[in-house]
Amino acid sequence: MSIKETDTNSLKRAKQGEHIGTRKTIPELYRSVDLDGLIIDCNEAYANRLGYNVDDVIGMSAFDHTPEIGRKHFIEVFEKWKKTGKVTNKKIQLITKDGEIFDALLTATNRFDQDGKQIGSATILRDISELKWLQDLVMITKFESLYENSPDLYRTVNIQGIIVDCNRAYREKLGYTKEEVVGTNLLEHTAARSITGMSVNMANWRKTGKGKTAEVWMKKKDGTEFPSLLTPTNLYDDNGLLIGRNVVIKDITELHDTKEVLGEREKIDKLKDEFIAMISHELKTPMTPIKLYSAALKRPKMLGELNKKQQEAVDGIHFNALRLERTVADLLDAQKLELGKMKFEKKEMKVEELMANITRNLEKQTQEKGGQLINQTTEKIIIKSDAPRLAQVLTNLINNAIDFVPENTGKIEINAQKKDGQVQFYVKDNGIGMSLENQKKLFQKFFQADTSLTRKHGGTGLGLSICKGITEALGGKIWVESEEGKGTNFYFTTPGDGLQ
Amino acid sequence: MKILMVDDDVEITKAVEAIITSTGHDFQYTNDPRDGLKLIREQDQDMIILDLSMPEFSGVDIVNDLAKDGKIKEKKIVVMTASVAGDDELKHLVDLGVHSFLRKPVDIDAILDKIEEVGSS
Repeated sequence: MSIKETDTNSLKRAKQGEHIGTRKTIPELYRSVDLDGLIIDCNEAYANRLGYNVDDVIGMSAFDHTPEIGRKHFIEVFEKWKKTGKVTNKKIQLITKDGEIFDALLTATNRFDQDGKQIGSATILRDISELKWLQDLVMITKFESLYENSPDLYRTVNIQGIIVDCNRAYREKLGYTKEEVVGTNLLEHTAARSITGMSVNMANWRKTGKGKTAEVWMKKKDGTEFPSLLTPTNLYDDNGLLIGRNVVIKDITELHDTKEVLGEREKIDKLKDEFIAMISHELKTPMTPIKLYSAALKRPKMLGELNKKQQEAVDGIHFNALRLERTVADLLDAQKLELGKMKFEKKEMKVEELMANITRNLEKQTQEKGGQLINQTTEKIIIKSDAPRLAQVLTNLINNAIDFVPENTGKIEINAQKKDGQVQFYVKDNGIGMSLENQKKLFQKFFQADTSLTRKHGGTGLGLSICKGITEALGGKIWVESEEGKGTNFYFTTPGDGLQ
Repeated sequence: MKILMVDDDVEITKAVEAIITSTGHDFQYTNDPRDGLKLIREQDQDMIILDLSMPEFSGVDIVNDLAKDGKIKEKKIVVMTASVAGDDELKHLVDLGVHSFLRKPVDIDAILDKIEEVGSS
């Protein structure tokens, strides 16, 4: 059928419609199309929005009011209506006589003639272009508020690097007014040390359009500088041409300070290490000949016979050389434990062998004081642990006990046994014991139970803190039970790795 | 046994000399590491006691130099050091061909035992 024919017929039929009048008065855009999409009716609002008179519109095709870019989608909507008789709130695009394209929400049902025959659609179109504009406005306002009130520093620069806008935080941090900032080259706000980097960054950005987060030192109006992290986002015009960038500037002074402090601490740790290594070398080197000469003098076969007084003098030299040696070793161990640099090597070991060796090594020393060292170990235990370090802990505890047991009646008992999947060691003595208060501080570095000038027991006060450090580094615990005048019991555990 | 000691510390070398010569061994020492390397290369010794930390030319330099022509193992080098380095840190010297270690401050028995150990190996 020809367009003209359809036009006339549709028109006739449409005019027979009962509710045309009501349609005409509604504020929304209303049109009615036939099955070919010819507009058979519309209201004033529709014609006006599209830039026509009602008479012009009648007889035009709905496709005449559909822009090319929305055509495919409109066909889908139109076909759906034809098939189902109903379409609800489908977004389509319309084009006015002047060529303005706008979005509208389409809702369509069927119109029937008096015989109940479908004659076309009843289509309501809600112009949402205004809504969209409003939404955009809201977005812009929201964005502007975010931009202006952000705690981070924002600035917007054009492609040449001229600042076109900035937020309050930016102005406040740098100490400028908006007038002073706008129109300024960003390099004027860049510290000298970052100028080169910034220039390269901008040149790359202009060339590739890609901008990466960069660490830049900013310069304030008063000339002071602060470190910051710059994160850019590109800005494009309607044609997709790069016109500038929004830059978020995060003040990282605090982070930077932390980094600097950490770097400083690392340096100090390294200096400490070097100092300790140097001291250790410088102490051990002169100690070596002292130890060797005094030990050689104690052997008549080596350097000849000495008289009694000379022997005593040499004994004194030798004993104190050993003492000094132990102090240096303790200081180094304490330092290594503090820095977490003590190395442990866990190997399969027989605990009862360790206990027997320790007893053999220290028996003589205990007997020299008239006391006895009793090894009560009966269990055969195999674990994976660091035997030399465990020996160090035991030796330290036993040496302590030897120091504090009474002359001639001293008794030191040691033992190792399996307990709760671990190995528990003890060193018990019948010495002077200690107060609860002292027990609490016992494992602190440099702690001495007796700090009086007349104290009988020397030492650096490092021994027990080293015992604690080693025990804990191996995964165990150390504690003390004591009562003044009734002796002291030291206990420590070590994990039963590979316990047999 | 013919024993050579290379250590820049005069006091230590003199003390070790007093001990070793008293036990009847042939002992020689130098406090100049370059001189030491020359002696090791040119003469035959049954054992060499070598310090690590020496100025300009260290014991490690000597070991590296000797390791170049693979004869180092015949030299029976015993490193005697005051270094705080752990055993594992010194292990690479063993890999290079060093016999063993003595830790400063060393005692007489450790030296005498070591001489016996090297002599019987």
